[in-house]
Amino acid sequence: MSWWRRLLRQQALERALDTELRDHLEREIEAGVRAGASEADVRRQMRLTSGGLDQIKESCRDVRRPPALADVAGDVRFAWRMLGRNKWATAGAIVTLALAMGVANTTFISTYADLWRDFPFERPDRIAIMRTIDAHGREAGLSFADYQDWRREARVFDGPSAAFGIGTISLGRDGTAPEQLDGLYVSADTFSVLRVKPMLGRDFAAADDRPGAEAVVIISSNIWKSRYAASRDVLGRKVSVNGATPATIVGVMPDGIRFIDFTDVWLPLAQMPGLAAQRRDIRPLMMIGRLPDGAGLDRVRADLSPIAANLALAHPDTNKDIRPLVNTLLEAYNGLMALTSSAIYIPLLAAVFVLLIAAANLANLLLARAAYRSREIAIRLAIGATHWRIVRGLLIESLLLAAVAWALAVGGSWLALRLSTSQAAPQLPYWHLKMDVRLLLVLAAIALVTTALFGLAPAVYASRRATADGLKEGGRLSTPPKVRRWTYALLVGQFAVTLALLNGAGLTARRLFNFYALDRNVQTSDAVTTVIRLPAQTYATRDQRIAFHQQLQARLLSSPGVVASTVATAAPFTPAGRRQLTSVDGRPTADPPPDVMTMVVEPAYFRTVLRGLVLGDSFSELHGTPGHEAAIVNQRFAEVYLGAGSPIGRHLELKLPTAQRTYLREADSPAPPVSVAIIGVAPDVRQVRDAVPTVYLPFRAEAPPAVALIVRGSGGSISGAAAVRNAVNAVDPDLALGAVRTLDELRDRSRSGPAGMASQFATIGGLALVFSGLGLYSAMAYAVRRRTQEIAVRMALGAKATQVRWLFLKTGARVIGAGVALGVPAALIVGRMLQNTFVGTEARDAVTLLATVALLTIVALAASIVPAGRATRIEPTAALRIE
Amino acid sequence: MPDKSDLPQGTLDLLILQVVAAGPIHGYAIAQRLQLISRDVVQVPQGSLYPALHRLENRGLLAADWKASETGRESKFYRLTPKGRKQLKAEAASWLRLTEAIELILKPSGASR
Repeated sequence: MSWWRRLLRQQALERALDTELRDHLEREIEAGVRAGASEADVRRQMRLTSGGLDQIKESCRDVRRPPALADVAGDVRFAWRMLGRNKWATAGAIVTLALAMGVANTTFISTYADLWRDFPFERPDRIAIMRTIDAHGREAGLSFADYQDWRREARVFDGPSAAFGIGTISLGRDGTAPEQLDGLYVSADTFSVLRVKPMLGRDFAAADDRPGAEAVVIISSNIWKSRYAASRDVLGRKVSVNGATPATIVGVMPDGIRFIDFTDVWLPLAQMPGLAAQRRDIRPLMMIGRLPDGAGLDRVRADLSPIAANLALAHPDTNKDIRPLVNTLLEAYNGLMALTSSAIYIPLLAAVFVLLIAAANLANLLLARAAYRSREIAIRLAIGATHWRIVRGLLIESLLLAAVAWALAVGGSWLALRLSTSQAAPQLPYWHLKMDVRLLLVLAAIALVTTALFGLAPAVYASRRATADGLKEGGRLSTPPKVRRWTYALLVGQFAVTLALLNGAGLTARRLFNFYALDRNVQTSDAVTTVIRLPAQTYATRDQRIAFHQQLQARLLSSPGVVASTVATAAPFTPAGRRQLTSVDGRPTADPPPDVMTMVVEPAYFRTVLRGLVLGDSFSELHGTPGHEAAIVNQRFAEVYLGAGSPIGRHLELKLPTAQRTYLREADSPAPPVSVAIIGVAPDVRQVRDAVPTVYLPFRAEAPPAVALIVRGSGGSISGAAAVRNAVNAVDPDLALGAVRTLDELRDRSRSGPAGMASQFATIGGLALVFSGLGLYSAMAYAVRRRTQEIAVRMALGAKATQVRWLFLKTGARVIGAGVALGVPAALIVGRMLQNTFVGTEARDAVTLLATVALLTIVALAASIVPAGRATRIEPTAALRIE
Repeated sequence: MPDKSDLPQGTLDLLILQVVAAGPIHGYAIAQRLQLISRDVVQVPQGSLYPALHRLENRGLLAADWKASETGRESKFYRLTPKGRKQLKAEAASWLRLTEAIELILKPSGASR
């Protein structure tokens, strides 16, 4: 029987014991009375021989009570007293552990939220998403024709498969202003694969998804509420879609269903513009299907690969070397990141490192305490305490320490999460910060193991030596050299890890500074931007689009408060399109030709958005017309592709890449000019991450249907937004507008990733620095105290203050020296990981590394100089008298 | 009356096991039986008897059942478990060997002195 069940049965046992003993008593009395004694006599006789009934009961209970449990309460009280007696050390240990666990917890949670989001679909890990990859490893979607073949021949899926393509869909004027929304063209079975149903109305039927079918639309609950005031009679309403097609609203999706991420409008795939005529090498679609029970992605790959191989044979010009790329929907949402990819585990690793540093600090604190405690333990052993009893006491102390720290860490990170969730709106779909029980348990385990491991140190070495030795030492502090070596080894490890973390923080910060430097080339103040998407039905030709933009420009520039206005295929800080650079000055570049960023801009772009050109002049109104093909490149392009010599007058050949990267939501543009001459050089700016080789082409040459309008006001961006809405409404009241954002907003949002990473690293690195500094300080302070007598003797014999100081500085110098020696390779490894994850981060940056080493050295010297200084102020006479 | 401390340590358990081996029996009867058989030499007070019984029960050497006895009260009857029987055999054997040896030493047979 186990002891806890016995505890539960305590009452029954008590009753049984009482009955049994009373039974005995009665029998004794009966026998006594039969023999002629009085009842009272018998009772007295029994008390004389056996003691009272309660005493007997107690000794019976003792037999049953598990001994370990018996005095735990007393041990806990004792542990509290011991921890309380050494308030500062205890507080230090608890705060160290709590801070490290808290930071680790929040880091893990925010990374986890990034990775495994809350999906509103059933088993998103069982939904496979299919795209394609070519021989060069370039990823793309799927063409409509390929999708039809794959769907017809695939056998692996549980239920139907489906396809969808991303597009911006506008809803026309229907009592409310026309609006541009994130849309998705979905095949009829898409929502069945996802296993979601509209909360109002119906799902798409197969009949809706046929060429020529009457257009139907499903809207998100967001739009239902904002645009249609959550009215139930929204079903059956007609609204014009993409400026032309009248469509019937047939369904409203439940709250939170915005597949694929921020979608507000769904149309049947058949409504996707240009679908029927789509060539096999235009690949805008993605395919989804449910994995059958027990099947992995390999089964899907095995099923689709022969289909793709057959298509490659049948259509060699478009499908050669095109292979299926299969992931789970979960992976796809998570940016195709697995838990092993370094972007995920860099912050986690950093958090683990800081936890290690904290653990090392704690270990040193507990080891130092062990020295104080060894005498106490020796005494307790001498007066008869068992080893187990002492170990148990120390374990309880460790447990208390860990429990308090854990509670603080959990409370602290809960508060931190509450704060961060209330401040920042989630930037990622289905992003959710929440505490995780498993995580808290892991942290509790780490706290317990660390404290228990090092909390037991005093018991271990107190029991190793003879009891008499422990007592003999008198009041002096002592640590065996072995323990001291451990202390310094831990300190060296701490400094090495801190160096790696701080260097990482420096690298991410430098990358952020790099952003700041590049962003200075963009005039963001008082500028707003929005995407203008001219529907193909009303603006079929280039000239119509040019005319529209000329009218809009004139209207804008005459609006009060508008200073300048221009148009480009992408606003700053947003992704721009790419083309293949096939040749420079008639010489082919490489095979395959490299992709360069391409922006189609109006002449005013460079003085409105950038701060002018570095070299040459901007486009004129003539450029872009036949015979006047021209381009402007940025400095980076000139460095990479043009080498020495002036870029002006050089010739480039550009081509649209065949594999469209559809998930970039690129605007589709007509065929570009084949050959262009460079007329100017623009300063480097950053569209997304870093300055990349960029070619600017004149707007007039192509006038793409979707462009970013950038308008600068004379002050106050709100007036800018209003001016844009008014001007667009005046030129074409049926033209749907998307969100109007300020350039500042776009810039800040594009920085938030690296800024978040930098601040995470800075927090963790800073914490590590503080912990290491405190760790070294307390070790040195302890060493000074331990060696007080030795120093007193030395000084009495004539040692100088500098010599005494050097005694301790030497140790500090050794620790930092070894720490740097170990830390520099570690820093280089962390740097390499950062570089692999974040393009544009330097793996090796001598300035950052030197600065980090210098900072660490200063902290280490400061941490050893204070205790060393204290050593020189020891009064030899006073110190020697103590003994 | 002989002092209870005359009983060497550990022997009480052995004696109890021996008495219980005869069949289910309650605590009072055990004490009586011991006193009777030993001709009043072994008198076990309640304060030693019951902790010993409970210890043996706890170690799984004895088991107990509650039965209504002749007096009408509920009494706790102890019986030997298989483990207890084995223990009894082993301990009795070793005890007998030991006492024989002690006897040999204490009663020297003539010449050796």
